[in-house]
Amino acid sequence: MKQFLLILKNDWLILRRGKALKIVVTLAVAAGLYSLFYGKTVIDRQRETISTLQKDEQTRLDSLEAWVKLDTSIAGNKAKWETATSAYEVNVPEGYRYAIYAPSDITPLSIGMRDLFPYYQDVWGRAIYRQIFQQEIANPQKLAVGHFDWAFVVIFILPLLLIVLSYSLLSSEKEQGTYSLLRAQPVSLRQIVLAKLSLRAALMVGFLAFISLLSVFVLGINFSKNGGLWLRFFGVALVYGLFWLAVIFAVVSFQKSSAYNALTLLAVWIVLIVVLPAFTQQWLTVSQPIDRSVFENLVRDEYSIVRPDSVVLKDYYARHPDRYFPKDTAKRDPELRGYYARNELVDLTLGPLVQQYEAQVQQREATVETLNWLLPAVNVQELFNGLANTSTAAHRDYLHQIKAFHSRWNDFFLPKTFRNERLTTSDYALFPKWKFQPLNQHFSVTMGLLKLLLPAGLLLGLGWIKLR
Amino acid sequence: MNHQLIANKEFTQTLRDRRFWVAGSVVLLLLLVATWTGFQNYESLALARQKANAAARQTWVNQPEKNPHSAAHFGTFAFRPKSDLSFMDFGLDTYTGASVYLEGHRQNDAKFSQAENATSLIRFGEMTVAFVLQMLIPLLIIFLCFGAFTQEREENTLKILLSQGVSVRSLFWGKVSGYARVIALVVIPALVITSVLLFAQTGFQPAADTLFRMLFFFGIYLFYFLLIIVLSVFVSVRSASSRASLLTLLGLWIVACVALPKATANVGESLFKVPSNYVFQHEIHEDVEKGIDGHNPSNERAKALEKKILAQYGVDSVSQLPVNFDGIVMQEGEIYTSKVYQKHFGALQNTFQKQNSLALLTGFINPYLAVRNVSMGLSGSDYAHFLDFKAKAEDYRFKMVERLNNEMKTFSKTGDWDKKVSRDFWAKTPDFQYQMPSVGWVLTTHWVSLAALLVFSVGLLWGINKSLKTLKIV
Repeated sequence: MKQFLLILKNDWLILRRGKALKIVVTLAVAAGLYSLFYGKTVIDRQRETISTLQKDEQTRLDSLEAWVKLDTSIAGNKAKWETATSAYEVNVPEGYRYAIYAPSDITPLSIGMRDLFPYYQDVWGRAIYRQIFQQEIANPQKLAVGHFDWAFVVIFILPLLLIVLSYSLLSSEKEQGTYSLLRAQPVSLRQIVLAKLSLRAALMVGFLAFISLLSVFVLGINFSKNGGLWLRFFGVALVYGLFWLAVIFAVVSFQKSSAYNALTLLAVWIVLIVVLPAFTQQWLTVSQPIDRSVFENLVRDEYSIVRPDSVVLKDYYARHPDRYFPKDTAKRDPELRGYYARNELVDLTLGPLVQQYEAQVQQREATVETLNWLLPAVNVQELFNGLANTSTAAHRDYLHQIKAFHSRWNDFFLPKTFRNERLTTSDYALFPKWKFQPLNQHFSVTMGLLKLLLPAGLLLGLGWIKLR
Repeated sequence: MNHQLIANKEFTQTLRDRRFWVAGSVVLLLLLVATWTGFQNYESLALARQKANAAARQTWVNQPEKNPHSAAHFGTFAFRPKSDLSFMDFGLDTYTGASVYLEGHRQNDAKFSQAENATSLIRFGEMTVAFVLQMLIPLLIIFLCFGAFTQEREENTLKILLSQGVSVRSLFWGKVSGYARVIALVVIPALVITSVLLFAQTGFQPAADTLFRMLFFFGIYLFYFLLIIVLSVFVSVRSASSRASLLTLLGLWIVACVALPKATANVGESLFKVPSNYVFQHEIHEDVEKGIDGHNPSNERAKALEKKILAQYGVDSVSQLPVNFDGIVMQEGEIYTSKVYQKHFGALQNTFQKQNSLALLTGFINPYLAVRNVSMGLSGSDYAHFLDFKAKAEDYRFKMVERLNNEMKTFSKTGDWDKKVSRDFWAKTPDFQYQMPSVGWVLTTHWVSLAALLVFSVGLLWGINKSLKTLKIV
């Protein structure tokens, strides 16, 4: 133990006096700080948009609510009162609601798919499939290049920094001629390598802890609410770093030259982080093709259905007998029953196609999840996205929540429209409200961590044997 | 003579090195796999889009008798065809929308990008031919060349070589041409296969333009590789040891191919803000209502139009007009909203261009970025091609709606929304046929990146010349 500490201390002195550590620390801290700043900028802009939307929604609903109470005997009030008491007007053009995909406190750490998929959706009473296929305005070149967020720094840059600090761990002793001197001491090779590696591990933990703690203040993470998420995020980063230390340990244990180690480690980095994921992506698009063009061609308005109103309505009443009032034959202006029946038909036509499409995407995700045993970087990206609630699965769940809200929203207003009832003041308190349920609070990282720890264990074992 | 001799020596020596055969075959294999999968992907997408376009046209033609304005609301779709060369470089195609809904009253943005179908894997890139050519072949070159001078120095052969009377300059360029031959061994077979695939797909009758695009595509990459070889040998000349040379080169590779592209795009986005979709649509709506200048509200525009048309036909009221006034109103409205959309989409594209300008300018010090832009352009998968498609689709939409409004204007009287046009009218609407811009257009669009490559090369040559004169050999 004493020798272990001695080696550790001396190695620290050497590192501290060299140039490499200064460069690495500067780069690491700069990249880490920039990533926090970048994530904060992106998510703050989204928050700004969200608050504009919420204000807009509040203003619309407040004025509608005020209009319901207007005295209709005054000439100018009639139109306003009619708008505010019409179930259709509130359901569709005037009272539409925003379904907001609120960012979590740790979302800025891993922005994931949040730039590609929309984070808010205006929900109107018309067909939902005419509304949800939207992309937020984004620069395609930026989308293609991706984020410089904390997840990127951990996944791409951290292993590089570890490699730079450790590729000549043992070989430098040989190349400087101090190896035989060191071996003449009563320490084993394993002790030497482990002591030096522990020093790198300590530096890594220090760096990860520093930026992670800083993120609590910079991003204003509410620890009592999201402390668990933050801890798991930190844990995943640690285990990923450990995996790379295991890779380094295994390579160093072969006791080759510094140049050989550097080359091998960088080759491993390039294969695991650059080539394999890109190759898998390409292979997936060919082996599991997804073609949406069939339903893309169908996303049109309700009048694209050629059938006359009466036919569409007949089927509609069969599905909703509670909305069928044969005795009510009075002419209505506007007549909206056909409109709603048509909109539902659009959703019914598209529903199965969209479901099939979602199943195809899920199939791809399942394949990737299995392949993640070989793709540590992708695995960690998905763990980060899962914790930050920015994964494709989280987005799909958000879409399902929107659909469910759309149903609740329509179930409230449509019976009134079909009964030809006006809205009252008391109805306003009963309007369905959007409540977002994030998926990430219960996101489990166990399986993902196992996919890192098991290979790491094997690599450590290999190194251990090799260093005998 | 010396030059040839040195080149031959490097060429033969590399071929005798087992490590080169391993690394070279891995890269060649990846290149072939990328070509094959890229081609498969391209074929299925191209076919799907072709079918979707045909289906959209079929739906349009098979419309029942209806009012022309209902047809404008019904609309049609334009699916973006894949360009012939896009199987080599997907560029931004994955992230740009595949289809535009063409309807009356509004310009829709392109929707349904390929990226939406992907898992988070997509953020790690796609292994296309361009990916291998831009990122992996430079790595192969680095592994090949990092020891070009340092090894001679370490084995003490450099002094001997120079004492034979060979100049440093010819030693340098001799090595460069030796490595260039080696790289050609890896690249040429792949280029031959891609061109065969390309020819096969066009039935061995490629358009002249496709041919030119392909030639420029190959040309730009060969130039890029030469540049990387020269750069790598140069770093080797300047380095004290093979280890230092390798680390410098790999560091440069990581900065140029991984860090800088990401950093420039991210900083660009932080500097220039684009509106959210909500604000964007809201502003368009405001401009349509209140007028582009804010002083020309829609109801006043309508009144002015009515006055003008009544004067033109010399009647007192709309009902006396021999034409359908609604048709005229809608067409005028279409012209106005088109202006509004053009203004806002234009501003948006301007902001994107500003965001991208950072990466564009970085091309002057990072040839990877310059080549990436030109390569996307030649493959027809860059943002400019996407905008070209969108502009042509919009042009088609406007003419289609104009035709419908004019029909409305002439074939019925004001207020008549029930009169229908016969079914054969739909087939008379011309079909949308997208024509890609020419290779000349691509080269002018990407002149900055081409200039960047040129400036970088000239700078590099100047640096080499200066450095070789003052070089301490030992």
